[in-house]
Amino acid sequence: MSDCDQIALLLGPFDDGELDPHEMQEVARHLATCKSCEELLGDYTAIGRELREIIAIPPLTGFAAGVDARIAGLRAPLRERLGAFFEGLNQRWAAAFAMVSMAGAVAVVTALVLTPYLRRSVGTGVQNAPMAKMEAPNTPQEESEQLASSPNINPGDSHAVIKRLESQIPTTAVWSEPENGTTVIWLPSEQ
Amino acid sequence: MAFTVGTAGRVWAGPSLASLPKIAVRVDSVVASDTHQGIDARLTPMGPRLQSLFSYTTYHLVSHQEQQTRMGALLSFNLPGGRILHVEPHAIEGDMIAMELILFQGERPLMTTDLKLRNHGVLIIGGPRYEEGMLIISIGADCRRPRTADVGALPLRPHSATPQAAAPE
Repeated sequence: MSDCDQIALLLGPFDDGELDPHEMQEVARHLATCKSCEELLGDYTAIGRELREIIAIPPLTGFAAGVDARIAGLRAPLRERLGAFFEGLNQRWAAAFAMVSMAGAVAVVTALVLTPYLRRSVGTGVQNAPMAKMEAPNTPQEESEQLASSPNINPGDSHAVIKRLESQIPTTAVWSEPENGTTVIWLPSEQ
Repeated sequence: MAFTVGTAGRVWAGPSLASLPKIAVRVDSVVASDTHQGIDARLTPMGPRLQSLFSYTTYHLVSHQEQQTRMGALLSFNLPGGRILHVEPHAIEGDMIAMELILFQGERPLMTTDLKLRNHGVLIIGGPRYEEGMLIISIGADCRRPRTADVGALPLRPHSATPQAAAPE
């Protein structure tokens, strides 16, 4: 195969600019010295130009929008549809679970907050209910001077129920006389 | 305008004072000794009770005081020997009157107690020396409920720890 036969195979791509740079150089160097190949290239170029003039290029206005509409109209495969369905279901379940959890938490907090008030309002008639009184903490010195608190010292006597008793006198005594319904707190004088 | 504000204030304040129960507190100060003088005639209802509780031969009534108050208000009683008794009823629980008692010797608190006393019940505090004997303080409380009042446990009210003197009645 002569050089012209090899170059002739490359003329079409050469005319379209599709060859590698070293091939483009080789074809161009050959064309500079070969009259027949140059004429053949002129023919290719003329044919290409005439073909482009003959063929009417359709208008592309709205082409992209049309493609999108066609894609949207296509029915998705069953697997994708099932996947989308379960994903949506998961999201709905998660939302429902979150709502139920939040409602439960609000109910628990409400019950915790309201319970003491309910107890107070319901339990006012209960005997021996805890007194709603806070005692200030005593210092060690004060504690040594005071008699220890004596809740329900006389539980058998319904005439008086002592919930707290603090005295500066360490020998303080308490007793009750159920027969005459009297409770006595005895504070011996300090000597 | 003033009428509107007054009415709104009354509605906002909840139950009126007239609907709250009154508490009558009786404080009898008795000197018990062994001088063989018997029981003071003024102690007629209380004398036998004191005799059954203690073994003294003389019971002499030094003072009788009675004051009335609303729930949560402090009563102050002057007692013989420079002692002062503070009584603060703060709730009614069933048939019991919850109250706080503080007995002062001058400005020094001798005893503090929180207790519930049955309506018309009696608590006796005894032991401090007075003159030739022992001082016995009888404390009674009576609740007088208004007819239409619906009274439950009432809130506590903070009070001062220093004694407030009041003239005996």
